[in-house]
Amino acid sequence: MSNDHRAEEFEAALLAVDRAEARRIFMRGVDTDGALPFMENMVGLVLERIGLAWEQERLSLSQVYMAGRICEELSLLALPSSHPDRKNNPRVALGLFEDHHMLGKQMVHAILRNEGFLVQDWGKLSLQAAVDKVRLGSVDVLLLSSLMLSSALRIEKLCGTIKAENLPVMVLVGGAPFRFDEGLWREIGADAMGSTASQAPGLIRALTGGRP
Amino acid sequence: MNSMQRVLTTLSFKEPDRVPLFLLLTTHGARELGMSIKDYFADPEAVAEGQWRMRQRYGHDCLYAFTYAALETEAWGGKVDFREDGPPNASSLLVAHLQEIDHLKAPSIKGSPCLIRSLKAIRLMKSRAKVEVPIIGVVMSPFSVPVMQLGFAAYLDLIHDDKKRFWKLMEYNQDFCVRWANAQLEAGAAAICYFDPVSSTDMIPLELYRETGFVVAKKTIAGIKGPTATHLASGKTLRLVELLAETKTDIVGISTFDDLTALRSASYGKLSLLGNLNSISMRHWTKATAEKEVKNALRLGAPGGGFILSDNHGEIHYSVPESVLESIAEAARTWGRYPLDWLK
Repeated sequence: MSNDHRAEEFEAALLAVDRAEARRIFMRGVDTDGALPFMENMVGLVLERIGLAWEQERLSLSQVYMAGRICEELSLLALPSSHPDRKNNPRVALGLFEDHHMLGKQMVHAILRNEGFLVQDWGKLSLQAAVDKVRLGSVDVLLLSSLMLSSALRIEKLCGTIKAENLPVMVLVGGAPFRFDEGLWREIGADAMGSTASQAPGLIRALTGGRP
Repeated sequence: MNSMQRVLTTLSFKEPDRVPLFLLLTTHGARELGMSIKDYFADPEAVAEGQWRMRQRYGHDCLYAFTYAALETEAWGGKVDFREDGPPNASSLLVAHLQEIDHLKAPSIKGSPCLIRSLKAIRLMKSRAKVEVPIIGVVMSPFSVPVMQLGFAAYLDLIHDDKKRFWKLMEYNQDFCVRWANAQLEAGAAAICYFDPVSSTDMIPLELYRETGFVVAKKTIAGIKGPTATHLASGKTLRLVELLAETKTDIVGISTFDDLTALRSASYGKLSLLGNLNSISMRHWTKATAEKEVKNALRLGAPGGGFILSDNHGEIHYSVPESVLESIAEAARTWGRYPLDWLK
């Protein structure tokens, strides 16, 4: 079966929320390609296409979320979090900044896991908790999701602290306020902004000079 | 014309004296009165006074009874985080495990101090506005409020994986929503804004909306004893126009990302439009930008009536300076006078 056909088949199963069919295609791919190559190439490609379709208004957020979630379940079966093949360079952490709406964070988490990243999930973060954690120096890239404009604006204080203390961590932001105001991420001092979850792996690579 | 006449005229797809302007302001009232946001919302007299003063200042055409989105989950027993730089937010989810839905109990209006405060604010507004200025009440739609009750991800899981429990939750929420809307109408609200962002095609596919949010909206709106405006809170509306009209809503709140020309062509005569100034980017607007944005919205949306100029989200953020609001109001007064001869 060609890769194109395989991708189309997998995409259709994900969009139909057909878990059994998605699992069948996924496991067949893992058997033939190996877990990490299949996740990086096929799963990554399909989720990127789904993310792009959302950006182009051909799909809805719920479809992107359900697709990512199904893939995440499957990728954890094929490559558990503790597996040595998981990528830990750069060291990536993910958090929800002063908010309670986890959807965006969960979607990014799923995308990164599906591409083999080992992700530190910092959960809900207050400004002080975020500052304390980045000071520990355990991450290279911090991805922050925010739904509320007030929360997004307060990320500026975190970025200001990172710059003032010269901490070696880059901040990548995403969420609704950044889509409605394209200059907002620069205004708050972030290093990059992702308008869809599927952009996260590429942006991490761009920020870290191509790693992994 | 007074504000009520202006609004009713445009809703009948005729041109009033000028395009009605709804500045949907909430937390700005606290700043207007020099109060903290928390103290402001705790005091119905302050809320009514804040709304009155802001209308005097900007000359717009409504009083907005909305306080904060988490008010309803507060009534259900949830907690609210107040902050000094923006609207309050729900501080925790009402339902931690989906099984808890089976034991939910919708609150009584009279037994909820936060709702009683809101009703008192509406009554106070009504005592001054009489029939001249529409007071807009607000409900979260039964279909969208679960985002605050359960969290967005868990709610999407529920919709897809547990239909039986989903419909059970809708029953509780519909019961509460209809009672809450009607209590606001009885207190003096002229119309109810039905916030329903999850129904936007940005959020769920049209087919899923048809099976879920549409069914819920149709039944709920039928129970509300007054006019409604369905607001998708920045979500796009174009593909939903026919179905929204079938729910018998009167107005739809539209996104800044909507194609206003196409939307108007699809909705004129069926639904009036409310929008669609970008409430996030307006923080930075100069006087010239405000004028340009207002003129653009008027040019595309206002000819022939059926249009209320407003923001695209249903709430203007606290970070938007008063000078921007003044510029918007001034541009609406200057360029919104019918007939719109400057378009020729």
